[in-house]
Amino acid sequence: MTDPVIELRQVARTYPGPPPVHALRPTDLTIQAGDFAAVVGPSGSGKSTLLNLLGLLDRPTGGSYILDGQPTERLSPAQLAGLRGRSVGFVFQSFHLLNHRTVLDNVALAGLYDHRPRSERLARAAEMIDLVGLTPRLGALPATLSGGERQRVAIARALASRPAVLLCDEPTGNLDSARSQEIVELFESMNQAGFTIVMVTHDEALAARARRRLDVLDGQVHEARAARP
Amino acid sequence: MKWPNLKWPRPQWLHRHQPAGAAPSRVRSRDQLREAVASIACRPVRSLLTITGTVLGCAAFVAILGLTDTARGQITSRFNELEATTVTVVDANAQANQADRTIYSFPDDVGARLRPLNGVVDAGVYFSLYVARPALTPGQSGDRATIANRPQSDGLGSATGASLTVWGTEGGALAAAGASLASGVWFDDFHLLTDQPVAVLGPAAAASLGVATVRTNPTVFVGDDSYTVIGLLADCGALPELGNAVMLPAPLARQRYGNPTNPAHALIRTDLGAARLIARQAPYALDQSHPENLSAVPPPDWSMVTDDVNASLNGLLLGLAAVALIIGCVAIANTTLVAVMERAGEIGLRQALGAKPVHIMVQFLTESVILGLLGGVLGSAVGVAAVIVGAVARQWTPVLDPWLLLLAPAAGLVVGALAGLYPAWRASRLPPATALQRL
Ligand SMILES: Nc1ncnc2c1ncn2[C@@H]1O[C@H](COP(=O)(O)OP(=O)(O)O)[C@@H](O)[C@H]1O
Ligand SMILES: [Mg+2]
Repeated sequence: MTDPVIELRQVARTYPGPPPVHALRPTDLTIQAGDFAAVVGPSGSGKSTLLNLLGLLDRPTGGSYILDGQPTERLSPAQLAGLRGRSVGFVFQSFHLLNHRTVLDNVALAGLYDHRPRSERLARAAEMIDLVGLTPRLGALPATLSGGERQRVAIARALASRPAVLLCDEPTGNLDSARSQEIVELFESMNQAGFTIVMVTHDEALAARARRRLDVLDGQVHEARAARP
Repeated sequence: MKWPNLKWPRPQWLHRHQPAGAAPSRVRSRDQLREAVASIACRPVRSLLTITGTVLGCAAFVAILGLTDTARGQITSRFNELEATTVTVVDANAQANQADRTIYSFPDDVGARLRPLNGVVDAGVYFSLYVARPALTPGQSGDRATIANRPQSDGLGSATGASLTVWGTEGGALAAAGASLASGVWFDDFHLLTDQPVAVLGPAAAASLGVATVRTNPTVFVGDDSYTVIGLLADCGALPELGNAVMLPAPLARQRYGNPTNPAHALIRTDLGAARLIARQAPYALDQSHPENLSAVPPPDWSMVTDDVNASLNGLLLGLAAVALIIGCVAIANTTLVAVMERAGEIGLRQALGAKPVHIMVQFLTESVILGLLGGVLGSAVGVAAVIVGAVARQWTPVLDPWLLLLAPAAGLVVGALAGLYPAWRASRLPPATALQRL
């Protein structure tokens, strides 16, 4: 596990106000393949800003960023979209499932913008749904699922594109503590299998389960605990 | 509680060696279409409401144009326009008393009296005459007078046409009949009212008298009377009996040769739709004190769909249909714009999954185009149904231009494309991080 999946060099993000907000101050950060990092900090400290930059959902106002071996500074929006779709899997606090589509259809959205044929996407989706234990709910609509099940669908979708890194912004924010425990256990077992995970949370108990911890305060990121074996 | 699959297999793809690279994302157009259709299909009621305006607009177009075609088809098959604008007036008094040759009920200026009536294009009287040879010897009296291109007094009668007939006419009758001139002019009010000794020849008469043009100042002789030929007909229009006629100004002809052998007729050409009114007015215009002496025959009754009033009404209805289409366009634009705001989360998700701006734009544009097309197709169906019901109710044969069935859905498609352009562009401009924050 020596090749870095994520390399930030002096990456900063300032929202041009007025007044300008230094949401992320110049930051150096490396995430190795196989890492499981928790990003912890109070509300408004810049955790989502950092994660959006890591996921190419937003562009830094300074510094350089290499994702999955690819420098991103000079990429066009279309190239950024391509890299994002192939290299990053997202898990959001609010799940972001399409309410009118079945579980299978939702998961099969992964790879849609990677020119994957539908048959391949459906096959991968079924495989991922099986991994998160939702095969019995394959044809269900998201509205009929519990919160924990919905997040598992979202995780299956994030994995279905076979990304280099999983970025999770408060994945347990809408779940009770028992469901949250389940999700973190899922992450732990996935990480043990080799997945690289970056998880934003403000729940100390969950953060303790990660192998590495990054604290964010007022846009400053610092390594609170280096990766443990 | 434990996960069913807590023991994860180590994913194969983690072993890949080449990085993902920076190739722009691509989507299969078939998948893009499927996404758009799925988005519409999962909101059926809203989709239907959205396209109502487009449906109405397209239906109105098809119905109006189809019903007009259908009505026009009826008119051309059963009832031609010439017939619809012809009024014939008969000397009823003379008809009732065939034996009495002293009866003649038309005035001397039929055309001049009828033309001022609103709706009359042209009019004139026409009648056939029997011209008797002057009685040289008692036995010969009653013979028909010779008609020739040379005087008869020299006894060398030549080029006589036994089949030629003499008619009294007004120029207006020829114009009303749709006759055309090969050469010269036909009688005007000057010739009629000042008793000019002039003649117009039917095509057969001109041929048998050897008159090819009026430029040589030809003269024809009816008995001993000479007439300058001022016009030659090329075609007799609605009065084919004038083909072998030597036509003389009606008042002069009656003066010289007496009343017609058969009851006189007047022919009136009217504007489309005016015929029945003119038929009622004509007897009074011709003889205010004894209108009953003249009987006018109007064309058969038919509610004219193509007359001027209906044509402008048609224009108005088509205008309304266009307004409905514009409203339909605005409705689709509005719904799509609202949907863009409402579906910001979905847009953000698609971007997170690798959609580039143009993919988002194409998705929304495709949705609005499909909505418009759907509206056009549904509208055509409704319009066709309206045409069939409208036609069958009047026992007409429905007539529909097949192009209309293609044109209406195409119009819907254009409406949808126009409506979707701006919302789709707006959707493609949403920054992914912002879009994902909205739900
Ligand atoms: N689009 C934006 N425009 C302006 N300011 C923003 C925007 N997004 C976030 N911020 C600001 O940047 C700071 C960090 O925000 P965020 O990264 O969302 O915090 P966290 O996720 O840790 O709660 C906050 O002060 C927030 O108000
Ligand atoms: Mg946040």
